[in-house]
Amino acid sequence: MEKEILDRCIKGDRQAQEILYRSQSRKVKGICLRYARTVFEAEDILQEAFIKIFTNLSKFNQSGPFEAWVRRIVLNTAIDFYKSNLYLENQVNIDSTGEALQLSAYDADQLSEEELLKILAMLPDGYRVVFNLYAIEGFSHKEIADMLNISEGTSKSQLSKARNYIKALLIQYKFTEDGRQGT
Amino acid sequence: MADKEHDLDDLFRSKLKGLEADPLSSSWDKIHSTLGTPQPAPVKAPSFVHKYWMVAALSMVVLTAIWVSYQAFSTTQLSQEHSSVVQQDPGQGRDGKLSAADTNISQEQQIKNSELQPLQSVKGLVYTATDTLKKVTLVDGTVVTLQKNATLVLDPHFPDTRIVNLQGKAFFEVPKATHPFEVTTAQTQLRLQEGVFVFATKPEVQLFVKSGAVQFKANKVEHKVNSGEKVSVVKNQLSNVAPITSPNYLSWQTGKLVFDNTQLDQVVSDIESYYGMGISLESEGLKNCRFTGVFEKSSLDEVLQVLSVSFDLKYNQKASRYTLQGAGCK
Repeated sequence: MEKEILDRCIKGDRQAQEILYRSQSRKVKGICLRYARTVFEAEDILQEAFIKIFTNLSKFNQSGPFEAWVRRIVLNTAIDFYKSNLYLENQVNIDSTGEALQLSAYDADQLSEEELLKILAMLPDGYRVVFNLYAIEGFSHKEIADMLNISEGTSKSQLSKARNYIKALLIQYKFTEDGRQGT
Repeated sequence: MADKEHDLDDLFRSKLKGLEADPLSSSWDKIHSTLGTPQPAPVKAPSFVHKYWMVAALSMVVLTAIWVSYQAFSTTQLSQEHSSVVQQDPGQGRDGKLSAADTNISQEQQIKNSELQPLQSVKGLVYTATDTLKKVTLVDGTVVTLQKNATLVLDPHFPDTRIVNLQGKAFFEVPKATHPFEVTTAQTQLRLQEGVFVFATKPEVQLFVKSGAVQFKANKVEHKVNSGEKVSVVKNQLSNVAPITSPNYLSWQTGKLVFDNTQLDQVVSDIESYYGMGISLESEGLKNCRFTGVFEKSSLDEVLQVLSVSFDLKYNQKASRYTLQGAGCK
């Protein structure tokens, strides 16, 4: 992002704000979709994140990449959005017989982005957030623990529950898919 | 075991890490209206705004439902007095209203959910020419040549709406489509069906129309600019439409400066804008000189030497300004 645009945004120039928004909003929406349960919630997170981006733009340290700064704000907004629900559903028990089945028993690569998003959306909020942060964003358990204000152990157990949940969903998905193909 | 976990993580990461999707078009309006005033509004505002609109939308549904049931009621029970009809309506309407509201929301949900579908990644929505010209072909077939430092931003719904935002200077070749093509900036709006034009937002706002007809609006004044005409915005005022007198408004793009029996002051003005240098004529007599010739990707020195030889003049440079000296022509 050009410095000139950022400076104009800080001064409240609408055209520059719109340019910034248009250049970042598709990526931001992509992140929001992964963390949100519904498209409505994704839009709410996106809107809150952009308000934060614009009101805090003067604090952006120009030495780092702008996209990384934006991403961090979006992640924090998404985490805040689900913070109150993060660990309410700790006791979701999934029959993880999926462990016994090979993940490669079906061609998971054929799943589309929409299908993967649907699976993420079905996860309890706490699982979804930790899985996103660890598996997709690439944060360590230590970093996740700091971001979510939980212990590393909790982060690890949430991740493993999330994976089991996903596997169960994938297997279920696989069976319904096959059933459909069979008919 | 560990590998399997990695497979799962990799699958999601490879498909979703770079995920991009269009936000709803209403989101920017909400963000912008929250930012609106220079004082930053509280961060919580958007969800409030969102709820507010939901309430407003629901009450519209309620009103419609009441009106519909009122209509039905008054036609089936013609003999009823109006006052009692109105009184009874809220109770009756409420039953009808709830289901009406429900179906309305679920329809809306379906529409929103269907926006999950077009996830195929679209090529950049923002084009910037950093230090050279950049030619881009948009999905609707429009070809845009951006001058260096120019930035073109497409509306997220492009090409369903053919709206772009431009900063800097660009050459547009717009083919006909079902929608008009629009270039917006903070102060101006430009719209056409098809045509070829040059539009610059800085250093000053200028529009040159090569073919087609362009509607151009600045500061509440609107002009239709036809093929071979130009307008500019000076001190926030839209100028009158004037004929294009020099073909060199395209030189920045073609690298060609063309003069055909052109008066020297026009020649100098074209050279100034092409090379970004100030050039002045020392005497009035020089204005009478007329020059014919074509420069193609020539250096400023080459151009000035040719002019010197043609009209027996000298040129000197002080800082970034050249002065042409000589007796001139009759």
